[in-house]
Amino acid sequence: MMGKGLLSSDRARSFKERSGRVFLLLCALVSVATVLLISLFIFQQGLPMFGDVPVSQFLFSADWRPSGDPPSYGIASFIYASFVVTFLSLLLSTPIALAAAIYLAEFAKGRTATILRSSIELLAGIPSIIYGLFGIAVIVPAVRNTFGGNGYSLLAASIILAIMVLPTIINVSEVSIRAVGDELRQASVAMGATSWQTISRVVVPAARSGIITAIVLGLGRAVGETAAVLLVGGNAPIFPTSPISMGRTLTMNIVTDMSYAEGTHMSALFATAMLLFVFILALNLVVVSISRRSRMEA
Amino acid sequence: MIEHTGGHLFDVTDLNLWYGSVHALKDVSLAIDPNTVTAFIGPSGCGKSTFLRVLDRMNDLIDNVRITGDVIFDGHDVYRDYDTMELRRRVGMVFQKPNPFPMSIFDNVAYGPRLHGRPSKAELHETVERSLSQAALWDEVKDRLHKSALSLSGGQQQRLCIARTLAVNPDVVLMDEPTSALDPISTARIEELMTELKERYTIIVVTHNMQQASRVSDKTAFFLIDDKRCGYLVEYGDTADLFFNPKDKRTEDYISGKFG
Amino acid sequence: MLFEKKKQLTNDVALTIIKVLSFLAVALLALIIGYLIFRGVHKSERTESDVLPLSTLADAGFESAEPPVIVIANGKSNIRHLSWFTLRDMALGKVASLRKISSTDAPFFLYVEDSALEEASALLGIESRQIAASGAVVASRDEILVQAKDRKGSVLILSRGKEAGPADLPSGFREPVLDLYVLAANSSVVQLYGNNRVGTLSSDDVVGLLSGSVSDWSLLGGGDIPVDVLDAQKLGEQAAVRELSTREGSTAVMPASWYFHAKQEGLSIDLLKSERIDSGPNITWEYLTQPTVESGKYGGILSIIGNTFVMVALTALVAAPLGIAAAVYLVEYARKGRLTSIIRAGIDVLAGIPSIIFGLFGLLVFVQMFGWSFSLISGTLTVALMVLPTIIRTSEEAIRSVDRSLREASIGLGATRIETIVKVILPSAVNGITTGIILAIGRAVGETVALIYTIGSSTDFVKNLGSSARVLSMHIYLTITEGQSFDRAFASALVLVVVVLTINIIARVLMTSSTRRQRGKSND
Repeated sequence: MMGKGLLSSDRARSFKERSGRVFLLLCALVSVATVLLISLFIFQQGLPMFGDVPVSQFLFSADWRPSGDPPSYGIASFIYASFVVTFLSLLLSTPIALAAAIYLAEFAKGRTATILRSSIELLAGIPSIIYGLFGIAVIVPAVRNTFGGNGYSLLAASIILAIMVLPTIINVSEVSIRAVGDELRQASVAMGATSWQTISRVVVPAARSGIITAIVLGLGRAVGETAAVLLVGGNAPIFPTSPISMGRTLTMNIVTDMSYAEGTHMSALFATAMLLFVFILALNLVVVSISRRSRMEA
Repeated sequence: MIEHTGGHLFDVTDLNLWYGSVHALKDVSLAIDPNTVTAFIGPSGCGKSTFLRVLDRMNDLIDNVRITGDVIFDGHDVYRDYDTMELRRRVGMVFQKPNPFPMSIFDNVAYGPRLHGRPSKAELHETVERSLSQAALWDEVKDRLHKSALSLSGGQQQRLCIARTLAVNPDVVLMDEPTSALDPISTARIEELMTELKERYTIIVVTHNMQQASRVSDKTAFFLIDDKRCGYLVEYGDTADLFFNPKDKRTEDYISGKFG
Repeated sequence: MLFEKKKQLTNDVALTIIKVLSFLAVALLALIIGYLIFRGVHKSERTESDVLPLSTLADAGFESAEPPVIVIANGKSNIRHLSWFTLRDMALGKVASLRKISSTDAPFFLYVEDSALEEASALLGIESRQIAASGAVVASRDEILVQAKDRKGSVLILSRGKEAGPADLPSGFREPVLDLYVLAANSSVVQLYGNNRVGTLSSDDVVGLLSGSVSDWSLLGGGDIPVDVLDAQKLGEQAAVRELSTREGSTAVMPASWYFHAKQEGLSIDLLKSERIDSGPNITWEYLTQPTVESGKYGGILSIIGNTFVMVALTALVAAPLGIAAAVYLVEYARKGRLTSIIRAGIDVLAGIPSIIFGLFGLLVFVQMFGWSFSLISGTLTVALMVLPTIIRTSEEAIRSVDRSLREASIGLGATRIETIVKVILPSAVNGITTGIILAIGRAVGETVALIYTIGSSTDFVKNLGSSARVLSMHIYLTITEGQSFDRAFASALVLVVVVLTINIIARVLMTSSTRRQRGKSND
């Protein structure tokens, strides 16, 4: 009697157990499914464009005239603008980020460290339209007054982006710098090196792969940013000739035209999104291979 | 190099050290002569490593360390007269666990010279070869100087660390349990090295291995820890005397293995 | 020795630079937050004005005569200044609501004190019967004060008493600044010369003009014509207007009525627009608690704030169970292998996808394919997918750090895996999990681009899952891109920033208290 009772409740429990496991697995697979679906849908909408527009024109022509006669879908200006903005923002932000990461990992204690860390966290939490608004109100006039021109420019976009990617680069770099074994620092100091010599000649080189990962992650963020650059970049679909010119990045192009695009035009926008998506995936692979290579070295 | 003749290289008088409010070393006085190998022995936690680090001011890296007493190196006060960087160039240190930089073998040894000047390529090559030879590693690595130092075995890495320290031409090489992480063969190599090196340098080695101390050192200092967990110097003298004719009963007990 | 000194110097310089650069981050944060608070709280919009602001006149040293009437407005009308032209329109019955005047949503009422009627009509150049016919109420002072007190959109014209000196302002009313003067100029001044035309003049420009330090119109962006300042007061209306219309490059400060009449007669004179800096409090309790009117141009943002709360709560509701479940799987069940690597890769990639791509995905799938159109549900699901990685990562950490011994104790007592998870592990990890949810909420609240194509932009409060719902971040974006007032954008931005900062602080507090609890546990 007892045996039978136990058996049936055990069976019920094990069914719960198995179905629970399956449920949890499905939830975990949602992320994977989403990534796959995103690729599927974006590609599905973007690929048709390549039936009408040759790849070479799409990628290398700077002539973006979807309402022209005949229409032209060259995104070279946008690729270039995205490149310039990303490059400049990393140029501006990396030294500052490294300095902060070094300071936090090697020197900062107590309240100073807390203040610095909280500031970085808060900077990371500010939404991008707010950065855009701040950019319009402060950065754009500053660029205008210092360099002339309109103010709305790739430079303004780069400055805002630099502030936005700071927290990403700082956090990952700091972790890598901290991970460098103390015994290396001690060996260097024992030979009579100054703090700076130890940091610049031993610690930072040892943390090299982590720092590169940090910068790549920053790159990914910068390239995908839309709202902030849209507000301060000027959004002119021309080939930008200098950092002070107005420009349009890949993301800006998608947002600007999407509301009224149709047919091949819309396809072209999705193709741009495809390009962006593939680039981000490639960056992800780079990060993975860096960390795999560094693990092998260790 | 050393300026005066005769006299001691290190002269420590009444050294006391506190970590915050904890008294860690009490009234240590001893003198080290040039071109000798001196061993510090004693049970774990008795402060021998701490005392070693007093000599090159590596204790400065810890917060809340307080020191009283005199530590004289080559006629000048270690804590008042020397620029720390210069002191550490002249008094080098090899650590318990080998810690080569994640760079090439060449760059590891060249690190020190590059810190303190701008040596030419030729000078660097000369220094690297000299140091690696003195550390008995040259023959093994001369064909792969640009390979990563991490590709060496444990014993080789420790010899590399020794070469690295020698490259800046120190007067003294401090060694903090340099063979405790190594296999017996590597240990033997390094013990041989210590005896060779004393012709040019002064060696002070902390070891928990009494047999090692008796094998390599000219003089030995024996430390103990009191009931307040404070380290102090029990006896210091020629190694042969200390081991076979200890003056202090506690030394005798330790040597004969009653404790420690 | 020299090298040693250089080494030390390099060291000190390098370390100082590191310190300075590090604190740049703090400085930037302070600058950004400070500026947002300042602009959110204090309006300082530059607008173009037909009339010369009183402050500019004062800066130029111009002695303006006291207006023959006193104009006051209901305190709630938010009217800070009134131009002659606006007053005239009011008196002619052309103004129906305060929307365009002070961005306040209230119907307009004009009251004129009977003894001030004559002066008012003289000032404005209209006959008194016209004023009465326009719908203005003409009555005794006490009567109109009583009526106007309850009407938010009231403006009153009162007579200036025989006694010189400020009359007592009745409570509940405010006295706006009356701007009755304009900067008129000969038509030659405002014409287009090649690519140049005189634009809106700043206060400094006007002062420079009137004082004589600006000698040529080209300095103000116009053509190469020398500046000729006339003293209209001295000349009197007829002469001033005649001179102005005939002398090239001439300009003068004069009462708006003179200009108006001259213009009506067809004389070749024009107005020079000047810049007005509108300062005053920006974000007000009213702004926060009034519903939105006319898609954000007027009224407050109450419904938008409400929408934001709803969206964020829904997002958490959807993403949290999914994320926690995924985290549980990763910690408790996943074994080293292909499947697990794929899952982790999926999470990492998802975390790095830009928001615009999520927006497009949401558009294609939720809005179009599922047919849900621009709605709360479309937007929420899109954002939920975006914040999923955040929740998974934080929850995973929290669950992993739950003490082994708890698991073992529970299993040892005969509980199944699932029971252990639900009854023991999740409750212990609740702090970390909540932190993750809160962080995800923080991200969701600031999300703009993913919502542009999914959630719609109706400013009304949501009625159901299918309604279009504008949220705060979108509202700020639309306010800017639709070219509306920056001040309102900043006011909304301030609200958003406060919300985000609060969320962050709560998350931090939770995180530190949970690590303290963990540490306490392991000490036992």
